[in-house]
Amino acid sequence: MANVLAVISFTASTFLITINIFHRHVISTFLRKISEDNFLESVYLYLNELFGTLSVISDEIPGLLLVWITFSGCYLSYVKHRHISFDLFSKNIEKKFKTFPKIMNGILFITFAIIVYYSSKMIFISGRTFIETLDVQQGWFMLILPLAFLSMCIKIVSDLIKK
Amino acid sequence: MGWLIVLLLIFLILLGLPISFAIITSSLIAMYLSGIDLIMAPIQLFSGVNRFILLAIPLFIFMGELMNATTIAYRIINLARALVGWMKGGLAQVNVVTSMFMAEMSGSAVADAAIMSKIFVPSMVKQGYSKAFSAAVTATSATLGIIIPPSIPMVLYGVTTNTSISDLFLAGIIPGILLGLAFMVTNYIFSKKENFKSDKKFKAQNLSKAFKEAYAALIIPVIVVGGLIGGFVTATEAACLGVLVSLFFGIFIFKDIKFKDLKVIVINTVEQSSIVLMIIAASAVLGQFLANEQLPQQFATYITAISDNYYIKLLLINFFLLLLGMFLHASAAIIVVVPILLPLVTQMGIDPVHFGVITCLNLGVGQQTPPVASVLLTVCATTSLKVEQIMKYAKWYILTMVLVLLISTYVPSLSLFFK
Repeated sequence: MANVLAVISFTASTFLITINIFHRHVISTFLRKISEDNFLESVYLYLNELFGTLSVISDEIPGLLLVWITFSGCYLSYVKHRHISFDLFSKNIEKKFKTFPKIMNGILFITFAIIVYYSSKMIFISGRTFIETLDVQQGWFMLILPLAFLSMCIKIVSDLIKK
Repeated sequence: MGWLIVLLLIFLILLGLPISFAIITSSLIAMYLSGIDLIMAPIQLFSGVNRFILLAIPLFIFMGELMNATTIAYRIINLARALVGWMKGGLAQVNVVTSMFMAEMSGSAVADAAIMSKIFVPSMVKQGYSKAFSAAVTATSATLGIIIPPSIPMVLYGVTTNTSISDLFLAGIIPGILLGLAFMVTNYIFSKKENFKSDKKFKAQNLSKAFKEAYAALIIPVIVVGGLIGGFVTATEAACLGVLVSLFFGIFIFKDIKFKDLKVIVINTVEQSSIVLMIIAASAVLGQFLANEQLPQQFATYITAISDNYYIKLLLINFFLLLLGMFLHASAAIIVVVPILLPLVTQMGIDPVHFGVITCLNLGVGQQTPPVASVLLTVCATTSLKVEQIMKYAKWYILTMVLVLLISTYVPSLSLFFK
């Protein structure tokens, strides 16, 4: 699921940036110049209208999609233990104190749980605000925060049960 | 209390907690103790990465991943062989020149090291170079990836300090070339000492053939860096253009990439990007607190108290960054520490663009020096060599890097030549 979300968010944001570049450099600059006072003018007007609408949202939506990319990727990296950490001392501590990983997981669980609670609260308070360029509530983009952190909480618990 | 929170953060990192989560945990504690509503934490996490410019990071990483998936690297190697293979220590020189070319297409030293070590170390060993020497050249020359544009750490620095990314990219060109040349001189000295032979004789025909095969690969940096420096596109758009051109060449011209491979490449990109982006998001939470506590200003006062001399202060900053680079990942160091150093740097009259190059060079050295040594460890993993084996040779290349760092620090015109 997180894989799919990550792929969709990344592809959509890349697509929107491409549209923006295409609109700004090909249609608004190049096509506009070559279509002055000739039959291409109507083509220019049509394409400008079509891509212009998408271009407006492509300044805002990719940034919001980056939030989805970040937090879905955060969960994926957490599952695969890819987050950057300094493990020179922790490996030695682990050998001496077997409960050490449990303490670390406990700290992470509490941190994640706090973020789940407060990010849900954030969505209830300011999630209904509409974004500037589209009739979409901001909460849809904020939703990934509690989802990602909750998934990581579940991962900690499931790992604990497995052990 | 600010310093207490910094100490807590260091403690949590030393305990092995992932850096981004350590920052979030210490920030939550700081906010709780300061009486700030904890709802600010997710708000800062959300707004910390909700920035269009930051999309340049996953896009540059994606571009690097596409390079790895295509035959572009091999085409570049052939071009480098035709260019410098005739020199003493031929393959070692080819290794450095390839890294300089690859640096123009990928902004990450770790990504460059991963692919280069798989290609170069076996072929250098076949030609009689020791495995440790081959690994040392590969690891250290990969650092060029973060100095020669495009560079992900420079994008991060630009975003963190509100400095023009195109100015930073321009500033990295001369120090990057200087570092590459310095590596080549070091190669020459080793080749003389250990009697390494040249790869093959120079032939204009070979060069022209290799150039024809690699032309497409050379177009990519021209579009990306040229578009950005020329002011036609923003950093994010330049990265997107790079992705589109790489995809076009990979799918339609070289036919190396299939659509089904793209999903894996995208997921890998998202994972790699999120590691950096999470540190950015977490630092947005901590940054607010540190700014309120005026920690950067306090740090500047401490350094100024040690010495009034401009050169000594520069040396101290370099020493601090070198030390930091040994223990912190480059991205984390830039996001967390650069905002603390910047007031001091500005107060000293150092151009933020020049300081960006100094920072990247310092952190480049840090990527080669244990315990963190992300690039060195990547090469260790792909070559199955131990750190101390590679270090036998790598130390001389690291010394070369420090020399170039000092030159770049005390000769600002090298970085500011194009400004």
